[in-house]
Amino acid sequence: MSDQLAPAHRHTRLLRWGVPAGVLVVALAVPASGRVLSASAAPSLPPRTPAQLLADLQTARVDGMSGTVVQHSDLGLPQLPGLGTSSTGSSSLTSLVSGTHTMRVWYSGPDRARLALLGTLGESDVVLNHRDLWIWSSDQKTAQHHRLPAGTKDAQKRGKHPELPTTPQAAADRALAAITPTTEVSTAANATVAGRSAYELVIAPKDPRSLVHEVRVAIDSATHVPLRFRAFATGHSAPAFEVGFTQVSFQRPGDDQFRFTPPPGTKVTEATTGTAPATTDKTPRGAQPTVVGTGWTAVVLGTAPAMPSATGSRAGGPDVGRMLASLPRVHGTWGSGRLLTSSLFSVLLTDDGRVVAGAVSPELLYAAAAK
Amino acid sequence: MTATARAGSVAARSTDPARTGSGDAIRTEGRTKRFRSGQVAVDRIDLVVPRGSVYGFLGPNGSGKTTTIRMLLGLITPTAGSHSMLGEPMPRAAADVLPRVGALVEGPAFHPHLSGRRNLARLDAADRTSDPRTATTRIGTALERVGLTAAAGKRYRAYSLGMRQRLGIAAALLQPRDLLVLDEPTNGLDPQGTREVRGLVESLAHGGTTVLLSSHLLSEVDQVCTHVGVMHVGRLVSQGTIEDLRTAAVPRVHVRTSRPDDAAAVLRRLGVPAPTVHSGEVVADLGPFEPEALLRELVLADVPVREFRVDTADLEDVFVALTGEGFDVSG
Amino acid sequence: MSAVEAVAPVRATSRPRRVVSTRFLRSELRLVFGRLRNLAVLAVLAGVPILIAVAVRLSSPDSGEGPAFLSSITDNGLFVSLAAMTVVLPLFLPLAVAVVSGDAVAGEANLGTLRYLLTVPVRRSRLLAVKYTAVVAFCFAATLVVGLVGAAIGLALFPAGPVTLLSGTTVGSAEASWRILLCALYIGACMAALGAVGMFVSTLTEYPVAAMASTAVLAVTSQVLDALPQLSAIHPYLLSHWWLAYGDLLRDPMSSTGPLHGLGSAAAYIAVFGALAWARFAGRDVSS
Repeated sequence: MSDQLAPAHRHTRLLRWGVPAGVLVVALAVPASGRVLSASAAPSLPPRTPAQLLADLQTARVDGMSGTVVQHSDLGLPQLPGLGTSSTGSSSLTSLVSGTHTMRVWYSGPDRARLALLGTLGESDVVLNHRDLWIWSSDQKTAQHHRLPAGTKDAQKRGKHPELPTTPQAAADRALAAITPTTEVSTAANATVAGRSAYELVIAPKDPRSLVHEVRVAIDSATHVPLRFRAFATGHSAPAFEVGFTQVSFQRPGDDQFRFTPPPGTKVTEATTGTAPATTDKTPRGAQPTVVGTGWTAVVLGTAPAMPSATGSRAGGPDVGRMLASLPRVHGTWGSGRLLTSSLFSVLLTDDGRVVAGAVSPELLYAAAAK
Repeated sequence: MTATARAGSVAARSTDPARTGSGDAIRTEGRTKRFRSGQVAVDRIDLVVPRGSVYGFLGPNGSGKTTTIRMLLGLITPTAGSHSMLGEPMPRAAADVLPRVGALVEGPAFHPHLSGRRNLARLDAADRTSDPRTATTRIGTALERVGLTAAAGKRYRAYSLGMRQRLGIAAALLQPRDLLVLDEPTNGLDPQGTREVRGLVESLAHGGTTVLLSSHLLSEVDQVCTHVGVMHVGRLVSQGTIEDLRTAAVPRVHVRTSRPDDAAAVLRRLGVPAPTVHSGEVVADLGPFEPEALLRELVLADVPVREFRVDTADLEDVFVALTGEGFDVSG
Repeated sequence: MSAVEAVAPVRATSRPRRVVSTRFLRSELRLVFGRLRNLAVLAVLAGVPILIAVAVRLSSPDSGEGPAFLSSITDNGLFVSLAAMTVVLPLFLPLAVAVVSGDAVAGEANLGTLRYLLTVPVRRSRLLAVKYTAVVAFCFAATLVVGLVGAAIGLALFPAGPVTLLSGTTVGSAEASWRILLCALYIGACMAALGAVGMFVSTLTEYPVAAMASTAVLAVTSQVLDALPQLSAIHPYLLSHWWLAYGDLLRDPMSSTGPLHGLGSAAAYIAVFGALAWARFAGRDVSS
């Protein structure tokens, strides 16, 4: 009798601990299943050639859309002091270089757009409403106001996608601009992005010296709007840079989204410059840069700017100096300097004040610097 | 060795069908508890507590009484065996059985910052079978029965050891019970309190409640119990009615003489079983013999008898014989 | 005189009827909220918003650095609520929850009252459910105390104008109060997940202080791991990862992404650690 019971006890004991184990499996499987389903289900769509998809991109037109965009960079950058590398995300607009960031975007025609970069307990907004452009930072309680010249509006209308470069659309545009005979364009299996079926356009450099392995753009099958942009570095299976919608709606957002009134207690800066603020182009303007090479392996040579003055943020000044000082020193026949490498690009800062950058390995930069 | 033989005979008597059966308040079969350390605290015990009995559960400290009680109440998982309480299998029927069982396990334990009354109210609230409408009355009655009415509003922290013990008993009396399991209920009580508890147990038994009374003190069990079980190093070495046990305590003959070996030889010749010699004294079970006859034979055999004595062993001796040691010995 | 011959009592035959009742839960709530130590913990939590409000009131109006929402207090008193909740979230609140949840089972085991509850009898799963419900009640009470005291002292010392959301839009006091309440409830739910962890730890030991300390250490460790960028792969699975997601409730329009993730994570933690606590406690030998 007693000998029969002992294994039974062990049995119920095992069963009992099986309950939390089962719950754990379910708890882990529920969120994962959503991801797996969306990833594995390749929606069947009428076939389209790469050329057709490129044309679709050119003609993509939506009256309005809104959604949540998640941007993720895994550039293999060294952990640099002063470079916001928190995964929860700071809401500062200059922190986009690394980590994961979530943005909410609203778009309602070319003269109404809003982008909100979500920080943990903060938010930075860029709101365009006709000729008024507001940049709001909740962390600093500041608002910048730009009154855009009338001409800009037309220019934006002519532009295909007036959104900021952090949206998939703008990012795709930039990739498309690089398309030359040096590039192979193809399609991959259809994808599901933000619950929508999409074509996947693959752009790959032919030159094996490029650090970029390929770029994949998911294009919404109905609206032809790019939903996701991924850049893969050579030798890495995970994308080095990814920006895509996690949730998207093609309903035109209400006008309220684009109305911005500086809240009481806000420090408002009026910027009356005619040019758009430095949000479209982050490369510092030194002397006129020269380009060595072509296509994906082109290397840009320029002179280092005196001091980055992008948005006058606190991150400038000593932080940048400290950041540069922490880069490894390199030298060669071209001289000496400091080198910043990542999985997608390399930057060489020579001691004589030159900046050499490209989506190539440092050797190509040295070669360019030696010229 | 005589101990085990005697225990066997008592146990055999207690399994008399007239006394046992499904009507037993507690019945265990081969209940065993082996702790994870490998120590066997309770080793295959077959406890039978008939309904209506007051069962003295005796044994030195550490002999496995409390572990047995914890198994009975479902506090610890038995390693082997089975048991039933009030005729229902345990621990499966615990939800039905335990409301009819009042228990005091290894001393009282209450929330120190709550009053005695609040502590009882908490236990009553936890009982799904108790009627909230009668709670106040029942708590009052229980406190009164243990003589704590005056101290009911005091924080438990301020209670003396005896008051704590009484509150523990009061908790066991919150409901009318069919079975009371009282583990060392007189611990910490003064002689007056001990008498009161004894009286309480007697009156409860009169009302038909079965009482399992564990103790390491023989005197407690002696006067109120109808049945006795004796634990020794995790085993139930004896069990039966208290009369059975007394009967088992056969009278012994003591002969003090200058020639003990001769005396032993005479007794052996007469058929007295296994006389033993200790420092000038011969001791043997009297058996069916007449003491007068034995003495005459000794004198006739020229044994110089200095002292001839027949003891009717009391229960204490029986327990010492059963457990191999006196009571109140730890281990 | 043998009692064996005594007539079997009349009441012995019928099985007692079990009823569903909230008596035990109410008793448990009284125990948790009537305990001086727990009240002291709540009082300390309530002191945080008072301290913040008075400090801001007495200091110069220069905003400067500090925890989120601190600089907005002078514009609107309701921000004392948010600032206080943000301040207590990393440590004070987890400590308070650790104290109560770590004590849940270990405290009763330590006193020995656990064996009496179990012989009443209280089924072990029911005991855990009641204990956990009280822990959850304490989690929400603690969060709401901070929020409500913050709102009260804030409105007493500072103006109650329109409230600026993270997106830069302003809303009225009613809308703001509603959102702050949502934030408090969200934080309460996050704390309930920590409470589940604490209760599991509480079933492992008979020493309540050990359970409390371990739970607090777990909460802090989770936050430390969450701050290490090298571990970003495991961040979404960390207990504390979504705690600050209540910021999403203060955007315009309100975003549910973060809080929904957070609630999902909390639900998963509660389910897993609730099951663990049950598995551990249901078979545990109560020998204290």
